Amino acid sequence: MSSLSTSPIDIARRFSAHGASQNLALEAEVLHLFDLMQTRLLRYAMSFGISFHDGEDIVQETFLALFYQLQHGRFDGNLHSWLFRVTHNLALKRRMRTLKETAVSDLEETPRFDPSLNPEESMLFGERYARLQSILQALPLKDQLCLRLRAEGLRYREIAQIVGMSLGSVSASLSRSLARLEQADRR
Amino acid sequence: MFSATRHASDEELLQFIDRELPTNQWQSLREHLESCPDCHTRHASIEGRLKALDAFYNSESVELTSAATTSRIELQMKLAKSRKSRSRWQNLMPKFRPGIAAAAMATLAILGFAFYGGKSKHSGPNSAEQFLVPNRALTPGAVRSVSLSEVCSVNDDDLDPKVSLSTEMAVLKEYGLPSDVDDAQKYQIDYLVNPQLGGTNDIKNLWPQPYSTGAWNAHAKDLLEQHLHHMVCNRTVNLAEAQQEIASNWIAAYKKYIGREGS
Repeated sequence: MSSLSTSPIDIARRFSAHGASQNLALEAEVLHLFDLMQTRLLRYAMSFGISFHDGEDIVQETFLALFYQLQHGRFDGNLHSWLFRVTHNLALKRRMRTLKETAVSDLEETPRFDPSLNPEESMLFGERYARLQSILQALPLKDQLCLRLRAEGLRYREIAQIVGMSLGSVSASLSRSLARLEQADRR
Repeated sequence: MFSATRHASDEELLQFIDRELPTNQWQSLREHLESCPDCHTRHASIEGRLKALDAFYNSESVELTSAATTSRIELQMKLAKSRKSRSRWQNLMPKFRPGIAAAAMATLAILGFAFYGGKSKHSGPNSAEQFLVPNRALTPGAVRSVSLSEVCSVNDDDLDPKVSLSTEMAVLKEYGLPSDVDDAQKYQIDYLVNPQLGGTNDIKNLWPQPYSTGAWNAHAKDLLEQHLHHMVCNRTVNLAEAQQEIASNWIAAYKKYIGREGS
């Protein structure tokens, strides 16, 4: 399980005063967190089937919201989980809006592979990747999200909070998805 | 708990791998896995599948990182914009803040002087706030001919050398202030351009600066004087430019060279 080295409570304490210099320092701290988390949150946002640019917008909005919270000294939760929760809510809203305009399948990214692989590895990995991707995409969205959030190192109770389901349902969802992957492997 | 007849389900094995089982169950399952080859194999299979999933998700992140820089710049701009709009909003809050109040008063004083400056020596009330910046008609500033090396070689840190009592009285009088001791103590007869920057003790360079008007007081101006002297000697600012800026509006110069609010 991964974790962030910077505690939001520490940041909030450090920047509880609202002077101009504190705001600048807080801004730098938020940008530092953005550097650490941007890719992971972008990946999560895009798993809702929204475009890359919409995903970028959402991640930026998430960090703007974080800046506000810290500036007002309102933040006292788990930063890692909070970032995913806000990204989740924003991405869900964007998905709803996008669904009205375009079919989700048209928005999904085509698979791209790790450029560090040689052509043979890339082909082999590409096949596995494409297969895995098609199996995962066939899962209900909530199951896909649970798998992703677990891979991001979140605890089940955090996943439950973000996705909006019970703790037991998270565990059941993960187990069910693994069973589906196994079945697909056997075919 | 787990025994020869009670094997672990896939869900329990998953919770075991993710350390989501209660401690006693986790311990029990760990012992069980050592003695149950079927559960051990199942555990390894689930663990392998989870690792494959992690690798899959990690491979996605590689291609996304390339766009990070542009997005970061965009966020930086949004943060700066939000910071600025927040400070504007914060200034409108009813909460009393002496610094902001003083800045507002200074603005009003500047506007007031711009409108009324030079019309009359004695018009308006004699409140301390009125003299945050001098009346330019009365105190335009006066400097002596001085070289940069002279300015920078002087080791005089008295920013406001005492002027004679008669000069002091004359300054108070021209600003329409009573010259009794109690009132005079509320003001410092200040040099608009301080001697360290070439200012003289001519009455045109002196004005009654209040000690206590929030942020924009005599202490804040002293700080600006020291800062400008340092900048002039560092050749960051030209001497004539420093003299002109402090003479035309020392609060604006403070904001420009030091920051938004006074001390």
